[in-house]
Amino acid sequence: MDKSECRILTVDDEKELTDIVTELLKREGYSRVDVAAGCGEAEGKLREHRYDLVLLDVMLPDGNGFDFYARMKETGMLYDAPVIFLSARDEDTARLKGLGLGADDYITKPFLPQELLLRIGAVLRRTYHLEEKGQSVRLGQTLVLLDAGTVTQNGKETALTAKELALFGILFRNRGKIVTTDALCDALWPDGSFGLESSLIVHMRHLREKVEADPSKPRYLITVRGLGYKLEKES
Amino acid sequence: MKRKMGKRLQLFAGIVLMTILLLFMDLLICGIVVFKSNSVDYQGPQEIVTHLSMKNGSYQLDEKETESLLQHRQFAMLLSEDGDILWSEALPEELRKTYTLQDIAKFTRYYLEDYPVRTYIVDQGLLVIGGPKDQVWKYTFEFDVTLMQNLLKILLLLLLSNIVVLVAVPTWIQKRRAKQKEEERTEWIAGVSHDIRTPLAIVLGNAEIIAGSTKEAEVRQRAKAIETQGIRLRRLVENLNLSSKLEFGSGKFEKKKVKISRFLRKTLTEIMNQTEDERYQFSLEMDGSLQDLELWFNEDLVERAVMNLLHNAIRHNPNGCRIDMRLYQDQKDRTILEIGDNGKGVSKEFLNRLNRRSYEWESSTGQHGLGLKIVKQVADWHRWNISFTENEGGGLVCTMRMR
Repeated sequence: MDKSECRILTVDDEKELTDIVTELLKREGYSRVDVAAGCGEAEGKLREHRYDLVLLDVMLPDGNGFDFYARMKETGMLYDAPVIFLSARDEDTARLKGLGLGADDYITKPFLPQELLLRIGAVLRRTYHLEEKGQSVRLGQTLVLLDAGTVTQNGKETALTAKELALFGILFRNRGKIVTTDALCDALWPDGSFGLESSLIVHMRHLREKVEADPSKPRYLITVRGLGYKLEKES
Repeated sequence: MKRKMGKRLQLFAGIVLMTILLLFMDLLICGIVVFKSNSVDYQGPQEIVTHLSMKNGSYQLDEKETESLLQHRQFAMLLSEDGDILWSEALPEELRKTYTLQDIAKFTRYYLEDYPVRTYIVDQGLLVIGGPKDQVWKYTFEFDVTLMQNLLKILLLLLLSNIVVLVAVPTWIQKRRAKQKEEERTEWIAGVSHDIRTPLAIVLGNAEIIAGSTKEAEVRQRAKAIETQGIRLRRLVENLNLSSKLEFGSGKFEKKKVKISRFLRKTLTEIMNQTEDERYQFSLEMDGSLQDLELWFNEDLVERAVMNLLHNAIRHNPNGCRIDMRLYQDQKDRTILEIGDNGKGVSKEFLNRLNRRSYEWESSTGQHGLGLKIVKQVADWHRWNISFTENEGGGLVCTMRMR
């Protein structure tokens, strides 16, 4: 599935906000975005279409987002589509945790647009294994093809291992930002197996050997001492 | 805090004074009532005796005294040593008899057939003066001496307990009311911040869209400024909400076991990613032995506190500074988190205020310091010791003893 095929439903009674979210999503490449102003309207939309993601406000004029979500989930109208709650009260997040409703994420307002898009991207990737189709990154003389998992340097093509690709993927999606070793380990070894940090160092060294022009003096895959790594932005 | 104590003391003293005053007033009113009311007025025995004369072998009271006696609706009789009536005036029929010693003993103390009487020993014998029924209370009081002495102490105790009740009840009521008021205020603040959040989200979204749809550097820069200030506002709203929840204890926070090294890495990374400004250098230092250390605390609260300290350092040093985080253990194995900068620091006066137990430093300095207030509140919530010191060569250092 591609971004442009993703059907997203945004439920919020604040029209200005849904307008903004729709605009932001369209700019990001999600072209099929629908809006509902309340539970009733949202239910109607869910009857009409099958959505791939629902952004759901908690306080709606005709009901509570939590209750609505539980009801929709029970009746199967969501078709297991992931749901991200948008809430204006930070107590709601605690409540959501407490209820264990099974929502995929929650975002407290006011959110940063980038934050919202990142979280949506993460949820979609997790649910549908949505890959960046045809995504390629040029790092100096090196070209990395993400969906193919290959690196081309000086005309020579090498394949990345699954772990190296996953590692590169995370850093690429957070390009310019530091990602802690803890977060990287969690992503690479979700079951929490042993020897994490030393394994991470090994994978990073192999990745650098394939990507960097001079692996001992990395230009792109930077170590941030004591914290983690980052993929440097294009200067 | 001091002012509060003073006020409380004033209130307490006032209540004590009021109690004593009230008691006095009561006594005074009682006294006046007793004094002003007609006291039991018997015909004086002396008048009767002097105006009683022997005539033809029997006693006789002169006319004036008889009239006076009748006017008071009283009666009188003179008893001989054997209990015989020697003389009487206006004596009710049922009392005409010879009195035995038992009778006499009884009526001297109580009533004579329900008539209140007084007895006097006179030369001629025993003079009895009585009044109408149901007009006089007559009791003989008899008390143990030690009891009377104890009574004085008990009275004092009673007074004291009265004061305690008078102090405790209003204080309790006041406390309850204050608590309710605080809860309402927290609720109100939560409501207001809720109402601010949605418009702020719209502002931030618009700023992003503007920045994304223009190629003009100046417009982008201004859009970025809107975003930066929007983020600042967001932080303020969150801090305000959290502070009121911490202050009034209405928020429910839980402690969890947290790997502290991981927590610090995450928090510092977040701030570094937000800042992305080369004028600020961050460092995190901790002993290798503390890598796997787990502590009990509320992650959200401590993250907010650490964030506030870091934001504070950044905001007050616009020309950049070094910000160092250090985690170590002292000889007693207490874990200490130190967060400091080498910026311009704060004034001595503000430093003193920061190190006071209370949070009330905003009014006189003009600085609200909501961020630092939360840092202190969070430390207090965890019962951690917290102190602020001046960094060598300038800058502010916050030291938290995480037990």
